[in-house]
Amino acid sequence: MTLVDHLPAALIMTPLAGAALTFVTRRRWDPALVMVTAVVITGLALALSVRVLAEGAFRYRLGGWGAPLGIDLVADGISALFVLLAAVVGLAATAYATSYFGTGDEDAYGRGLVWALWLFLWTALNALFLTGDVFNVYVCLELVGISAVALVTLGGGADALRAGARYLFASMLGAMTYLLGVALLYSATGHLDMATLGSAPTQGIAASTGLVLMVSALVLKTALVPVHFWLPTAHAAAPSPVSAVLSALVVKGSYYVILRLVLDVTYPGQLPGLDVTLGALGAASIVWGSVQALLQTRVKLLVAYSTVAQIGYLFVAIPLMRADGGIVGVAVTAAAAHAVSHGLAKAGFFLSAGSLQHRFGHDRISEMAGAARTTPVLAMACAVAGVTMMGLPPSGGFVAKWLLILTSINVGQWWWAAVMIAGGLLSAAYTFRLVAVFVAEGAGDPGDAHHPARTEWLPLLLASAAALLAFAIPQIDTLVRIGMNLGRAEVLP
Amino acid sequence: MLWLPILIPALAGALTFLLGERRTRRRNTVNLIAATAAAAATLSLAGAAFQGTAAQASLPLGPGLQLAVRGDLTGLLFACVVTLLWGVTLVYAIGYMSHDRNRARFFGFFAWCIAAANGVALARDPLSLFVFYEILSLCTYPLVVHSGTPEAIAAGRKYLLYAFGGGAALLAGTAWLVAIAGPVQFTPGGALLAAESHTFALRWVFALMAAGFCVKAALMPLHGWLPSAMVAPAPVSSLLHAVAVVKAGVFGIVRLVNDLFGPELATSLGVAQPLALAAAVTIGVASVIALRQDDLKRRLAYSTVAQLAYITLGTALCTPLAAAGALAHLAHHAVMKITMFFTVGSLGQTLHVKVLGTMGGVARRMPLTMASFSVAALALAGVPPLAGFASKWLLAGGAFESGDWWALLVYVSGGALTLGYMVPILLASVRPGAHEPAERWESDPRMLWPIIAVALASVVFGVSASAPWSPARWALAAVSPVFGGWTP
Amino acid sequence: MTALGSAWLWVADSTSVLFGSLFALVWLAGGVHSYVTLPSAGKHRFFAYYLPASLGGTATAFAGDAISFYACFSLMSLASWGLVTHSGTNASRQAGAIYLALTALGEALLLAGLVALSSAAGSTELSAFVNLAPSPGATFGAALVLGAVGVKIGALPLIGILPLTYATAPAGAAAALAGASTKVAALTLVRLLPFGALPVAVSEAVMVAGLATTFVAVAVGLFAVSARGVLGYSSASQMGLVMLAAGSGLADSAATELARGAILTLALHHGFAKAALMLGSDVVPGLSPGMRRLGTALLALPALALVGVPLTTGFAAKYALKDVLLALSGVLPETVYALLPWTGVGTALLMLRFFRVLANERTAARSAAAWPGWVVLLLATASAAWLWPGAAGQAAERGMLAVPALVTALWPGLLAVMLVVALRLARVRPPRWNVKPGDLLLLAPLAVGAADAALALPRSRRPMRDRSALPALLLRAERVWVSWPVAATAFVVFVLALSALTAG
Repeated sequence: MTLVDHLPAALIMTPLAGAALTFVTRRRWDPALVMVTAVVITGLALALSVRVLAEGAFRYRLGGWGAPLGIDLVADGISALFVLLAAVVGLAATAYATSYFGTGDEDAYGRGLVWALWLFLWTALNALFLTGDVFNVYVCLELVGISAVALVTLGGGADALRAGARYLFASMLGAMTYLLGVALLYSATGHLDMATLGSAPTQGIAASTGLVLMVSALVLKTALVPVHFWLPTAHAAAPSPVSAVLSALVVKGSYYVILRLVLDVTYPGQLPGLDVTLGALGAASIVWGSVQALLQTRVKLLVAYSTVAQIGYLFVAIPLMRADGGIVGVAVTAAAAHAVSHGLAKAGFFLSAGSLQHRFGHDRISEMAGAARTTPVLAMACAVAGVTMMGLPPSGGFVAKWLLILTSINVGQWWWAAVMIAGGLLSAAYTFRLVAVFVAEGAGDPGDAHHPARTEWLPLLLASAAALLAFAIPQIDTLVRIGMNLGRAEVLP
Repeated sequence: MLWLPILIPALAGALTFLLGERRTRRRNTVNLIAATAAAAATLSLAGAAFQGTAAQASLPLGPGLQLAVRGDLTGLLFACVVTLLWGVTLVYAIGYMSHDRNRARFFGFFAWCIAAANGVALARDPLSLFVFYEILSLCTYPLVVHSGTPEAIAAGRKYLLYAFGGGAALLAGTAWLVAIAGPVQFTPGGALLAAESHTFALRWVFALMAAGFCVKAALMPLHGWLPSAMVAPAPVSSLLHAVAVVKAGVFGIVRLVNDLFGPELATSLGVAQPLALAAAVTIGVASVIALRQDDLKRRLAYSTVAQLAYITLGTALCTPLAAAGALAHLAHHAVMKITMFFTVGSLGQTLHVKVLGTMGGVARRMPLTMASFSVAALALAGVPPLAGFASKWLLAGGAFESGDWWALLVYVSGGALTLGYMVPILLASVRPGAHEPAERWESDPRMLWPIIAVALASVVFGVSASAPWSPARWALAAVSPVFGGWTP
Repeated sequence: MTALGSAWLWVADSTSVLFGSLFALVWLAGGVHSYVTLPSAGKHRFFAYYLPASLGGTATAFAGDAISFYACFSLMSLASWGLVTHSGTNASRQAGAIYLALTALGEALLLAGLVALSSAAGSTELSAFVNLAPSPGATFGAALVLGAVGVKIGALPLIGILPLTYATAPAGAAAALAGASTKVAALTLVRLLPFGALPVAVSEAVMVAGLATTFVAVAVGLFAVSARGVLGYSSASQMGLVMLAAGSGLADSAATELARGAILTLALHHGFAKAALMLGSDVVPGLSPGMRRLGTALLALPALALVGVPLTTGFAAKYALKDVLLALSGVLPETVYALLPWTGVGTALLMLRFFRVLANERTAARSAAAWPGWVVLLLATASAAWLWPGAAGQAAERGMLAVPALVTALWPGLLAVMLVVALRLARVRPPRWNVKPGDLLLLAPLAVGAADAALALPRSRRPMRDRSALPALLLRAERVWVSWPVAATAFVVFVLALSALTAG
């Protein structure tokens, strides 16, 4: 029994242990401790991906108990990919956060709570990505929600508290609805394990209602239009490293569960109309989110609405995943690629927005003229992150968009392609609105470039990774296909 | 090796950004070395292509996707034009921008534009071409808005609207094409044999892709971004109007008609004729508008619109001579127009002369510069034995051969109109004015020598048009496989 | 079509020798005259244009392929612009602009014609053009070339171009332009056109156009105000005869050789004669009264030659032209043949007008060195058409002394003289319509200005729309949407709707 066999458990235990340790150690050592933990987690995530690539998907029985009594952790291609995404983004955000939060004693950050919460969130995310049964998902979702809300409100201030309250409300509502759904599903089928649920067709009104409630809850937690009300303010009011993790990872968590439901638990045609509805709402998100982003006057709100828009793409992919009565692998790869590149780019975007706010003292867009000269690294980071949002080559977003467009034409549902192309144009509109302000030489001389702080390179690194992700898509594709059940046929009622 | 024309400028750009605003000398050295290296690489690839060995390379980008390049004669002609003129423009820009405050940003994106343009030139299939095409749009934006003034920002917004609108059309067309015909590659003579039956879809694909390319190629009525983009610094205007962006647009059309659809299919589908008509109208209207412009750069901008339509018309006529003439004109026009933009930029920078009315006495003050401009202007009007005559002869011959005799008349009247809008500039410069002859150098030597060099090139290309290495001969060789091995 | 394959072919056949010597002599004489008479202030500038023009002009005679022909033609035409605008006055600048516009047009047509003919012939060598078989391509190309020639020589309605340029250019340049530059048009006709291979319609159209030009130019020229202007209209008229000769040979291959010969003779005779008149008109007004009479008498020689009086080269030329018309059959050639002597009447009237206007002109005295130039040209006028082999000189010599030929040649001139005398005696005053050289063409700048003004109508000022309404609305909508009550309700509605939609 080597570490490699226990990777899933290790991925959950390590951040938990780290969080516990922060309570014990001196406050001064907290940042170093968290960085070490982050590095270790990244290593473990890499190891998991390597193992999955080499040996295929596997199940891990926690505590030796198997389903249906115990909790099973599942590590297939998609989980490994998302765990890796969480690790990379988490590492970068941690590096940024150690200098952002500082070690001052007066503020809330200094009370050591932030690091514990940070690592709790990470634990919950890892657990969410690795979980194999639907009730465990509820637990993880609750954990994610609580940690996230706490992190949002930690900075204090009326805005943060209001936003946090809204977020808490949404989180609770979603969790309750999800629990209700799980209860209905369990009562109808008697199973909680995802694989077991997926192998036998679930029929009956109770099961369907349960599934619908679960999906609705997850849609709420992923902030799809029309229930996106909590996301913009929450992501904008949180401290920047927290926003980065929220936009890049937390919303992907609930989307991951939806992916599991779509790919593994339900059959194509089991819930007729669900796919198209989700796709249509995704299209609405793309449009509404981009339009709202265009109208914002503050950088962080712009970035937050951009998240709403980009989530839409993930939902537009869903009807394309299950066209033709089977699973279209290309669409799944596209969705995964989009999630990864958006995660990297959005993290970069929020981190640079945070640094810009720090430099300028505010985050009002109209007063940031000349930033391209005074803070070239940050301006470049925003622009490069925008490249992924727009879906321009050679970013991962472009490959995802292309694959989805191609799929939509191939299956004859070309309207999704039209929406995605329009979405690209709208993203260009708000990105360049921002860039144009940066480039403008306004009245008054903003002066020459400040020397960039070391942490200012992190957003640029993340954004560039996303912008060049196209070259890594083949590897992502290979990873995603491991464990994907491509042969699921339509179930006749 | 085939990736070098793309990688060298890309790396140079990245290094330029990292070196920052302060280390000017190192930055310039890096760029100049990169330009020389890229030129050497491109020329040696061209040599190999003439021998008959067209190298290929590809990078996978996802399931069923790849970024692929090939060094065939057509692509290498464009790539050589881009790379060689990059070096010349660098010297000019170093002189022109010597007092600017954002040089690192400028030269960095400049290099990335060159990389993208080379990518467009060498792309082996429509998707790869689209990838580099969009990167080109992206990297030219910071150059257009470089000065940061409200006019520049507004011009940039207009440019984005056009460029990304065109890009959206191109994306839709390319995706549709791949959906019905699979991942086709550019093949001389056409690559769509298998999908010939989808006539409805193919017509729309052509329309979408042509629209996407025609935005950059400034075909009327999609030309609106070009005149307002003149607010950019002169090296950028030279780059946009002679080397990279507009030529990428017409190059896309060349690839579309010659190597994707093929002349036969394009004619039988009936899509080539409307394109030719639009190009003919553009030549006429743009030349007439050019006659009325007072601002020198705007005059040259409309002249560019008209001259690009020469290339589009030649390609759309679907005959060997016209296609060869179009390719030759791609190279010749680049050289001639860049001379003119350099001159106008030098006039603006040295004498603050930007408008026709203030040009009195310029010929006396800057004789070498204006002499080079005159050579380029006469070359553009098609006076033998200069470069413009050679490509015009081919284009006119091809027009006659195609049976569309109206195209022949369009070409020659375009030449007459060119004379009409170029001569007033020459006349204005010799009119007496307030400038005294310069003491030693009439302007910054880094601006003067490139002007003379490219003016000489337009003479050399014309006089030696029958030589095997001239662009005219190159174009004839490149076009030969498209028409089934046709030889003149 | 050998695209750019063989370029720059030069030939030296009898045609090129003939035209070459004409051009060389005229450009030389004009150059010497200019050198002697121009003020030194602008001399360098003048010769900077004159020398390339003369080089291009003379070289066209020896050009053997389309590209070299076009190159020399362009060089000559473009450089001549500098000659037209040399004096720097507003009038000369306007003339230069009109000249340049028409040159650009003519060159465009010529280039198109060259391309078409090269394509049809499969080669760029000019010798291949003249032997072209009849085809639509050949006809198209020939039509373009004819258009180019028409623009160059001032066919209707552009007859004003020649007087315009002659009036504003310095005398030596005007002589060169009149004597050589327009004759390049004749050369173009001989070298480029596929004689005998064109449809009859084209041939007849050209003949009619040529004849019309001849008469209309005379009619307008009778009211011209300056000596050189009158000479310009005379040139236009004579070139109309050249077009007539060309037209007659285009359709019928039997008449081809005769037509060519006629063109050659006409060109040779007219070139020297007009150049001599030009130079003379510059020298004579500056002479003392005694010398003036001598000068005027000397000038009578080329004038008579133009009218076609026997023993002059003009007679040979007219005779050749008659030969061509006789070789053709049909209503049109016969009508033209009948009208031909009346062109002589017109020319004679024009010459009388010339002397009348010249008598009233006064210029500064020219140095004695100005004399040799025009005297040489006078001699050339007297002899060239007789001396040159290949011209129709021999045929004319033989028929010249026959009485019917003498009468035919003499009566137009006599009639003109009698007409003028009669009018004088009857004290009938001709209307004083003073036509500036250029007539219709001078209206062109006005037309351009009007078009310009029409196009530049100011755009109506649209009221600035209030653009902020939509964004404000959208922002408000979002604010409402994210408020607690609405959001919560939205979720509930969403769940219900999703259930309904997926109930199947």
